Amino acid sequence: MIHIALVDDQVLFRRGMSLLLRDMADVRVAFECANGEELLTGLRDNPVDIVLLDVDMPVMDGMEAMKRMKELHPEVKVVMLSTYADDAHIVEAMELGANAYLLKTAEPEEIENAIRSVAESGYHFNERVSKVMLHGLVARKQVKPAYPEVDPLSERELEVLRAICQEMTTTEIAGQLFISPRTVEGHRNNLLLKTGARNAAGLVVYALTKGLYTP
Amino acid sequence: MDLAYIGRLCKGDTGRMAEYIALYLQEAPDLFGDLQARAAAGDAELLARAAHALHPHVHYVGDAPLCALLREVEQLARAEGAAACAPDVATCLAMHRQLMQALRQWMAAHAANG
Repeated sequence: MIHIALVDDQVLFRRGMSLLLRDMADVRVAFECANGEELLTGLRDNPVDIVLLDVDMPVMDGMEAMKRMKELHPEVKVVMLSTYADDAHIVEAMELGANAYLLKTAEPEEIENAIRSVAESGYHFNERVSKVMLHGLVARKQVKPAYPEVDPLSERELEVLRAICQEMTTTEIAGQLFISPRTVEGHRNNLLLKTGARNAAGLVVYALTKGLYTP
Repeated sequence: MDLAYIGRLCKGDTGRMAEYIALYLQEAPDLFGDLQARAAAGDAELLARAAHALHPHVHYVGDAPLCALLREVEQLARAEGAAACAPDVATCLAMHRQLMQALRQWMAAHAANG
C-alpha cells in the first residue's frame, strides 16, 4: 500500500487528485493539508510514502516544506505538482530532492505513472525534466550540485547506474545483468556512497550532469 | 467546455465528475472574485498570481479559451501592470459566468439522468 499526503492550498485541486487516486487500489490518501507547515505537523502522526506537493502555498511554500521535510523525514518521497513549467522551478525542485516534477495539468495517466514509478524506483523523470537536466544547466552554472569528488565507479556500478536512469526496478536490473537483486542493492548503495546522492533521483541527476547517461 | 480531461481523471465515472463539478461551482466564484478584486486594487503581481492559480482549475473543466486568456492576463500584468489587464479581466469574468452556466446545465442533465 502506498500512503500519500496531498498538500495544496486549493481544495479544488486536492479534490481532483483524490478523485484520481481513489481508483488506484494500492494507494491510500493518509491526509490532506493546505500548506507546508500543516504537512510537517501531519507527518508527525501520519507517516506517508509519498507527498504530492504544490509549490505556491501560503504560510510555508512547497520548496521550503520539501527542504525541511527531507531533513526530518528523508525516506518520504516528493512528487511536485506545479503550475510552473520553467527551468528554474524544475531545477530548484530537483536540487532540493524532489523525486518527480509534474505540471498540474499533466494527463491523469502520467500522474498515476509518476506515483507508481516513485514508489517503486524512487523517481520519475518525464521528458521535460530530463531535457532541463540535459540542457547544460550545470555547465551554465545555473545549478550548483554539491557532489564530492568520488572514487571512480566500477564498470558494474556504471551499468547499474545507467539501468536506474532507464527507470528499471531492482528486479529488472538483476535480470538484465544476471545478478541477484541483493547484489543490485549493494551496487546501488555503493553508488549512493560514492556520489553523495541521497536517493535514486540524485543518482539520475548525477549521471546526467556527469555525462554518464544520455536518454 | 470540454469535460474530456475531468472525464479521464474520474475514469469516466459521471458520479465522480459531478462531485468535482459541484465543488468547482462552489469554489470558482471566490477564485474569480479574487481575480477581479486584485485587478481593481491595481496590484500587478497579485493579479498575475491569481490568474496563474486559476489555470489548472479551468483546464480541468476544459475551457481552453478562458485558460489562454488567463495566461495572457498573467503575462500582461507582469509586463504592463494591472491597469492594462482591465479589458481582459472583464472578458475572463464574462467567460467564467458562461462556463458556470454550462456546468450547471451539465449538472442538471446528470441529475435528470439519475
